[in-house]
Amino acid sequence: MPPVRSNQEWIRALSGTGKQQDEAISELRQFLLQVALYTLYRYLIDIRALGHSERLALAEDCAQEALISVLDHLDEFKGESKFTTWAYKFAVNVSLARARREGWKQISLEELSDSSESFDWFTSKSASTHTDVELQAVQAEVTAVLDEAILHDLTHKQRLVFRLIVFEQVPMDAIVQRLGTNRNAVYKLLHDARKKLKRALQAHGFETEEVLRLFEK
Amino acid sequence: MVAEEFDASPLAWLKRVLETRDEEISCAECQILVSQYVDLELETEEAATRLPQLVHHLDQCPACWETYQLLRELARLETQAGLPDIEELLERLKGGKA
Repeated sequence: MPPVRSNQEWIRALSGTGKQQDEAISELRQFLLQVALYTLYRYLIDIRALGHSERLALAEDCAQEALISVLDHLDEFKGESKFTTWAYKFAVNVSLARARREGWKQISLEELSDSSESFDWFTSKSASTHTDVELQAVQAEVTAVLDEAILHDLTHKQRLVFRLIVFEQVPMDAIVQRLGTNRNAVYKLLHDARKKLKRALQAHGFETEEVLRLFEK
Repeated sequence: MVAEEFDASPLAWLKRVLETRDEEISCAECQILVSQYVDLELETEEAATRLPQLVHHLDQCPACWETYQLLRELARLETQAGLPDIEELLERLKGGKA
């Protein structure tokens, strides 16, 4: 097992030349392959249709792509974390995105979004069904405000992204690929949609604290 | 503190709508901070108070929360017995039938 390198040793070796650099790159590549294999294993459900050799090839691809990204972004490492934690992030992100896209590639996101017309906001894994008539009336009112705002206040893209993520639990990375964009842009659409819905609730007199209290009932 | 699980229930999303802030950090900004946060969590219980904007983003963003969760698992493995070796991981990856 190679000796554990400090942050400075990693940067020095990777930015250097010759044998020292080759050894560091080879060591890092091995770590990134472990991270890619670990990530794909954790998201096995998404790559279940792939055979073993395809899974291995996918892991190798992810590790290679991550290695190139790490080397490209080396000067952005500020030493605020362990070098390895920083570098693993690239392999995790690449592997997660590839697994998620694989798992959702057969599904039409537009059709899925169009099918999600109604949504029961007041269900949760832990909430019990209650029969408080007054509370149910408030919940129905909140639901009506949200339904209306989703339909009329959101842009087409905001509605699409909001429905896919919130109603259908489609992974963001799958949406990113279909829309040909990046995580930032999808998060921005989701954030803008949340802001509009929050404002719609406030415009109807539902303040945050009041609606949050409904959760506790 | 970041939740152990990303609750995707309707009620949890309604809560996220209500807790929406006008300004939130982007995924790119989150990615710059997340490795620092993961290591900080291993050292101190004050990680969340030091990077509150990041914690808010991780509560709102399922994709970045997944990255955080995996990084946290890997960082913990590394401080304990080390990452699982390649042979073991290959064997695990074989597990789910194609």
